[in-house]
Amino acid sequence: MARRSARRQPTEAGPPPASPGAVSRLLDELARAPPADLDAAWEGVLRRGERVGRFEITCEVGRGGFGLVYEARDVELSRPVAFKVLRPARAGDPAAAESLRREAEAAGQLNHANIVTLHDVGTHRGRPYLIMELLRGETLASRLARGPLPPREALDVAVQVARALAHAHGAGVLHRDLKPSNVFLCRGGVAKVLDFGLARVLGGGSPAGGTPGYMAPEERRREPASARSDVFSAAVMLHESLAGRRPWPDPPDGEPEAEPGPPAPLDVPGVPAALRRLVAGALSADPAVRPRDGQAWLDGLLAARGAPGAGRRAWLAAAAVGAAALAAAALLALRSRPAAGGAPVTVAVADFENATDEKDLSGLSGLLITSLEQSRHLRVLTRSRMLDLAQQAGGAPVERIDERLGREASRRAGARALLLATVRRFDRVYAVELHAIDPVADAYLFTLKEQGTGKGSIPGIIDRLGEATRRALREKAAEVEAARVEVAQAVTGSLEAYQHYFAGVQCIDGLGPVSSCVDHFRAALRADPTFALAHYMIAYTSEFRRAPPGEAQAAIEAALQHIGRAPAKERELILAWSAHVRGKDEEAVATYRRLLERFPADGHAAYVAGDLLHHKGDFAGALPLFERALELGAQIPVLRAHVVEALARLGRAEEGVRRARAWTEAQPDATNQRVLAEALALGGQFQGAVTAARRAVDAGGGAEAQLKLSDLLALAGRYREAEAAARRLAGTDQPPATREMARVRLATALTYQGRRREARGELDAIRGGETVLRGIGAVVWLLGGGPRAVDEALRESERLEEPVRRRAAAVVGIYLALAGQPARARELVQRAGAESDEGWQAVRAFLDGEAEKGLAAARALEVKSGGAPAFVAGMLLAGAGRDREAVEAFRRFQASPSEAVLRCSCYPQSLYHAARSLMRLGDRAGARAELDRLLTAWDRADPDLHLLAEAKALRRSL
Amino acid sequence: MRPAEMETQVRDHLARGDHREAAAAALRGLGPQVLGYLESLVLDPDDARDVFQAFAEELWRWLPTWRGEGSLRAWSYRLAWHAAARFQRGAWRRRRERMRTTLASRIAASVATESRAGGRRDRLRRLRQALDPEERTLLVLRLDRELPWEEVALVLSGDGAPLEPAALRKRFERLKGKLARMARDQGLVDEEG
Repeated sequence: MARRSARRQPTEAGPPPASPGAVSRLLDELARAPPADLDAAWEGVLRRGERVGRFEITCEVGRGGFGLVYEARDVELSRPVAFKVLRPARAGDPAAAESLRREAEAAGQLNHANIVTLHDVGTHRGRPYLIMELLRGETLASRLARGPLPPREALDVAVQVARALAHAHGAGVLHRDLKPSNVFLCRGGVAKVLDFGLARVLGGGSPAGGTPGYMAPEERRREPASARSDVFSAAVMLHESLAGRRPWPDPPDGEPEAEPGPPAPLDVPGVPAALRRLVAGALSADPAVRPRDGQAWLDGLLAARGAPGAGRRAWLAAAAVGAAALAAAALLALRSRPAAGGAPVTVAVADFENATDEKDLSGLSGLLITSLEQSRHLRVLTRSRMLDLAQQAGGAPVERIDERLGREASRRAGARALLLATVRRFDRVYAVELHAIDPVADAYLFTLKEQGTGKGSIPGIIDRLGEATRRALREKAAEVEAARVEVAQAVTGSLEAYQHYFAGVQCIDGLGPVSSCVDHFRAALRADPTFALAHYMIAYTSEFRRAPPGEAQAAIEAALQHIGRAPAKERELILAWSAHVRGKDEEAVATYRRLLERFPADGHAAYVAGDLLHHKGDFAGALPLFERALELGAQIPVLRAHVVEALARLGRAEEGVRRARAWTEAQPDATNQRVLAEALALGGQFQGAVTAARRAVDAGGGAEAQLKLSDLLALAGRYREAEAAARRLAGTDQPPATREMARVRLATALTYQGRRREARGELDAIRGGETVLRGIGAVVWLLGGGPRAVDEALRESERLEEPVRRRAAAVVGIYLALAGQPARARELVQRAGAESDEGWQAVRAFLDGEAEKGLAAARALEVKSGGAPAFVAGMLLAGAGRDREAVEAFRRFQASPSEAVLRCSCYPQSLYHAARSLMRLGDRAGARAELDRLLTAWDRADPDLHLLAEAKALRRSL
Repeated sequence: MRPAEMETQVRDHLARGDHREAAAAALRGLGPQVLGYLESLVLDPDDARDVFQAFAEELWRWLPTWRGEGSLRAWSYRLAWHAAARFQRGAWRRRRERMRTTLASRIAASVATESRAGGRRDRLRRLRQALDPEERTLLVLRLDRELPWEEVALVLSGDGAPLEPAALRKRFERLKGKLARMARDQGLVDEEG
């Protein structure tokens, strides 16, 4: 028999056992696992007829994660009840007993038609039990096992569950384990929420359980749950009720990921768009995006059920109520929170109210934030994060965080304390009064007052307030002492300098023009030349304005020189940027990562690190950082666009489109529509992109959306429309910068049509003849004019600064090589020192007879930077007589949205050269089609246009 | 009923869309085997029952997704293995297990406190405790349940790359060597054999 022979098999490896026979027998003994009696596994605690106090057990009706449920009879009141008792295996477990006790405590506070009623609590044979209302019907889980609910019914159940949650959240109780098996559908249509088995009084500590498929991402990460976590679970249930499956597939043999991707779309006929948006929002990984609590969720559902489109208003209205009901729980929560060593306490700081007439006292909140950031016990929201959250709440950019916005932003961040302070002056005495409130519960926490004589006393006042706040928030005195900072030493002792610095940061956060923001930092340095942060900001912003060469270098060196004057976080920022300025982006990214470990809520650091990698073409490295920034709610306009671009470059354009659609469904505003347009364009869906861009314009996207629309119309081959859109914008009373950008679009739309003279006129008209079409764009545009333009393109490239000049020289070299002048190309590139240019290297490999190497390099570049290298590859292949591959490369180029100023010149050429290749391949119809597209676009082209005569001649020959 | 017949019966129920009957048949047919395995895996009989109940719920829920590519037996052991792993990861469980989480501490405990004392059954129990769950699974499924190597590999594969049967065999041989040494230390086999 197999069994015997298996045992007799000699050992194949490993040390020889003392005795093969003895060890084999031992192994058999160890491996013996006789089949077990199944009855034992199902054995209950209590038997039919058994009496517990005044209750008589009738039968077992169900089993949950924590206990067994029996039907019993209350013999005194003569009514049937449910009798829930701990399992024998768990009875000795203090944690489970404690959990049940808490269940009783929490459920005892609740009295609501949609929550199962608790009659009594007791113990039997040392095991705790609960006596609850007996329900007849089935759980939502067993109902869903037969398939999804009709939309109306699903919504009805969801509304009842939401009512239960609204009531419980109002009483400061979270459910923490909401799932279909905890929702009972009674006969008669009433839904009741069962098993507040994990509920605690708000803030009782970390979660001990929950069911993975329904748990909010923050719970899976073992972060504290909030009312928004229950809303997430309720949304998963609603999605499942409607679609018959959960928004994320649940692997049968593993726990779901802590960071799920976007949910599956809720494509169910009969579900109103408002409801889809509501569910998508409630399923957001970022708790701040979800409805705030059960009440807000209920309002959203009612709005979606009643009047389509009214949801948002009801939601906003709901944001104003509900919080007050939580007041009682708040202080309790703060007091019962573990002291240092537990999870960090999130703290928000509103801008100080300045009741003096001294402007330089306006930026004190920044100093207080710096002081508090020294604590490992606190997680202090940065001012930018507060602005992001305030913007999310109100929809409009925010300049100052007053009390109202502070409350809204800190609620969204789930902060446990919001600090509101006022600075006053009485003669020579300066006083700061600080109130701490719990923003969620709207409860008062504590007040601190500090004062000093003379303005020079203010940094000391801030230091003392920072330390007192940390102690009031339950940080141990020894830890406060161990990690303290004197802001005058760590930042600047000059309030005037700090006020200018703060104004500069405000200016940048408010998305003011960067060049004017920098003036504030210069003013700060005039007041305190050793102010490291001001030096750093000048260096940091130099990339976003046209700073003179060397300015970034000098500024970052000055910052490094005074780095001892910077607090811990800012020191890391300075080091990271210094690495970047030195061209060591890997080091910079590593520094940002370190910073993120210590200050995990700094979404901007995550974004900047991602951005550095993104612009180096390391999309795989950039993407997780962008995701982190997204998750932290960083409101950076280009962030979502970067995410879809990174996905597209990683060959996941469709995922980008899906993500963008989900964002748009959750919030169909102009920014999201523009990102969707971008995603569709990257996926080659140009017509769909135009539709999304039009929606962005309709949603009030302003000039930026109109510029994008013009770009996309051109991509979709609708040049006249692109021209008209750009012309409209160029002629309006927009700011000069917008008009200039519109003129550039106009010029590209004209170039696509072969109307290069008019295009040139538009470009020259900008800023009195000095073209804004600078750098590589200008060079490529000029080269589009054909061989005659090479000299002018070269002159243009000579005007540029390094390293752009070398890049431009390489582009001219590539053009010459493609135009059949390899010797001149080599000489030019060598002279310009541009031989390491990646594009040139691809072409040079081809010239050197290593065609495959060159093509592979071009392909790699194509992945990294979009379609233009495909055009170069097409030209090289066509030149080498490899026409079929050439046509493929041209088609790839045509289907990808490379930068407009490059594409408008190359695209018509790609049509012409593809036609020639097709003709050589004998595909005359294909060649005619390409040429017809070209000649239709060029029907008003300059008569002496390069390639026009050739294209016409070729068409005639066909 | 023979395993092959039971599997055919489950397939028939599934083909008719009768998931309840399919799950009931699978549990009736495989339940005692799986529970026996779980008892030897998690060691505490009460815990084993809890895990078995979780396994039964999972089987009930996921059986319709079983595509019948491998054997139902291996698929069920895999569910049971993952149910046990989840159980071990559970928060309340971790508190109890805190002192017993590493193999080293378990061996140290069994060597230091119990040395060669106790009867053969006690010493066997200690030896079994000193194995990690994967090793126990390997022993039971390969030797007692006589699953082919490919199926044992399937049961123990995580979510990533599947385990190679060859790697598993090597591991099994190493385990035998280790057990031989431990058995000698426990006085379960003679120095000479």
